[in-house]
Amino acid sequence: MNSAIIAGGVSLVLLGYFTYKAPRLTLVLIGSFIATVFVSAALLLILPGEFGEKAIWMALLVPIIWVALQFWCYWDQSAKRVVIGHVLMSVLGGLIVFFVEPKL
Amino acid sequence: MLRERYLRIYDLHSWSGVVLGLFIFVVSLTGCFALFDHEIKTWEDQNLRAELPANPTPIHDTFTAWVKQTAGENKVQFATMIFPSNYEPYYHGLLQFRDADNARVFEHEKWHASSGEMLPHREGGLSEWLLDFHRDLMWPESLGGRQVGRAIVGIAGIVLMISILSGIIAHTKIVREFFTLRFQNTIRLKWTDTHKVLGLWVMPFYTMIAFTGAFLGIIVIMSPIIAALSFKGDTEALIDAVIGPPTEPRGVMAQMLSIDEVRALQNPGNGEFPYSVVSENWGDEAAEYRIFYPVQKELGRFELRTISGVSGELIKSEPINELSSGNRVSASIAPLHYGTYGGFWLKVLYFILGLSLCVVTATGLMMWIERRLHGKEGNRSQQFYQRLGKLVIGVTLGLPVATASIFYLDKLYTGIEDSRLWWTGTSYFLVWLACILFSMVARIGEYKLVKGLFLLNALLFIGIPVMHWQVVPGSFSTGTMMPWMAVDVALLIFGLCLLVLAQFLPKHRIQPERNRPKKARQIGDQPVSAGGI
Repeated sequence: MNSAIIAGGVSLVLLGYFTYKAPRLTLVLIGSFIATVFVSAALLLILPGEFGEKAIWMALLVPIIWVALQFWCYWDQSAKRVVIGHVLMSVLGGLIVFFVEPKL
Repeated sequence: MLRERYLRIYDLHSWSGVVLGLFIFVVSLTGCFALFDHEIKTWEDQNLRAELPANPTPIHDTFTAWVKQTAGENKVQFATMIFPSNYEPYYHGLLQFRDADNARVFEHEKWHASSGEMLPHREGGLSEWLLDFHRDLMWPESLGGRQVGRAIVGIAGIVLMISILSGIIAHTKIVREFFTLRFQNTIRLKWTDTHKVLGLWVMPFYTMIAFTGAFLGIIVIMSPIIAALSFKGDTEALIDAVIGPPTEPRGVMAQMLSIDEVRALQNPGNGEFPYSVVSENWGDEAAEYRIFYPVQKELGRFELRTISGVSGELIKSEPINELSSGNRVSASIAPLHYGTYGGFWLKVLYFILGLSLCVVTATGLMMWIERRLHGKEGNRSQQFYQRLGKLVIGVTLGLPVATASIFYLDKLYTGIEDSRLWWTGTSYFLVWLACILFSMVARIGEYKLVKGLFLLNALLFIGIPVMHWQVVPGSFSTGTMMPWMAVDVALLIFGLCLLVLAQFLPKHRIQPERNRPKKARQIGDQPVSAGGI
């Protein structure tokens, strides 16, 4: 458990450092993937509708969300805005995942 | 568009193409050959070649005996029977069970459709390699197994999607570029125009293949991650929520309904006979048969009907037209990606379009190098870009050489049957590596090298049907065109196309008009026009 926490902490620090040095590149390679995972999981939990159907649509949407986020990294004029957007999405998604129980 | 934004998007297009262009090339070229998996199966194993009988022999007793003998007392997870069809004119049984150590064991066997005799066992080789190398790179178990490989291939789809999107944005004169193909001009313009014209005209196909490939690839790794998050790690709960809980065995032995009776069960919806049947809880009172029927016009692979494996009573019917929209879309992904919904000629079209993606990728890479080798861009030495160019040549033109080589290996292999796949893979990589090394060390110019490798590829592919006719006499003895003959004809045509193409390739770099000596222009050369098509 401790080693997992340490590994997670080190990964976060490294991710933060790389994001500081090369924000767009780091986000396009790693940040967009993390945000996609959290956003997809959160949407799966909060969107209305039958769960099985939602899961299939989310699976179909994952590549599109991922590519859209990657594209946004290079489209936006402000690198800072992209970083904040990705962090917010991941944190918000994480909170939803942590607190919301799946409704079957 | 803002210049800064344009440059950023252009950079994204460049580096995503340069860094992962070769990988996309490998995935798309292997995908071209993976399309013909069914045809190549009968090409590689002549024991599987037979006319499809009007009334295949009953197989239930043989199949039941095989399941009992193979699984013994172990718990059978599923037993599948694929019925004879035009593409696979034989019975194909598959079985999965857990052994005493709870390890998953998978077995399969084939039987002649007319006599019911077991067909000589032949281990996977050529067709398995071609399909699985495209699907999951044959990723070794020691590095995480096939699922990791599949996810990596899926990432190629993501990269291709981002390349397409950034490519569209980066090309500001898109309408003009649709119709500009200047073959009479410099090599760089020729590549640029080919890259843009192919990229634009075939873009809908590339987008479709990228999205479906990304979905098929990354879903295997994304689903568990998302499940782990939304279901707090309880993957089984997620599976239950999406597809429903599996039927539990009752522990009471029961006589299974004959598989031959199942084969005769017509789909009331479209009149088709079953393609395959999957049995769960084999030999138990709660046994179920999941019957897969081919679809006729709909974009999808199968219609599913579930019946009791003991009484034959209908449990569930899932006609394709009554599926939910999400299920309908997801059911169309695999047929769309593999081109299985329109017969042999659709696969040929997919093959040509897939090859065009290889051309787009290769020209993109060569343009990038050309700009640095003979232009003002780049800050590395000439030698570096020359080596890079030769590496690209070796990888791109060595891959088809490696592919052709395993066709030869398949027919000339005399080793132990269990090692066939290993030797197929080893030969594939050795030949590919040899081509890369040759390209890197050969003291010949890039243009001569490309021409030479094109010729080698052409001769190898033309030689495959010739070798086949020599090794397996009578391959063309039947009057009608059979799948294995289509493989020979297709390879022959492909080889001839490469041969013709090789004739048009220059032996050396054609100097741009402005750099040529004035005298030469006056004496012989025609003025170069920059017209469009």
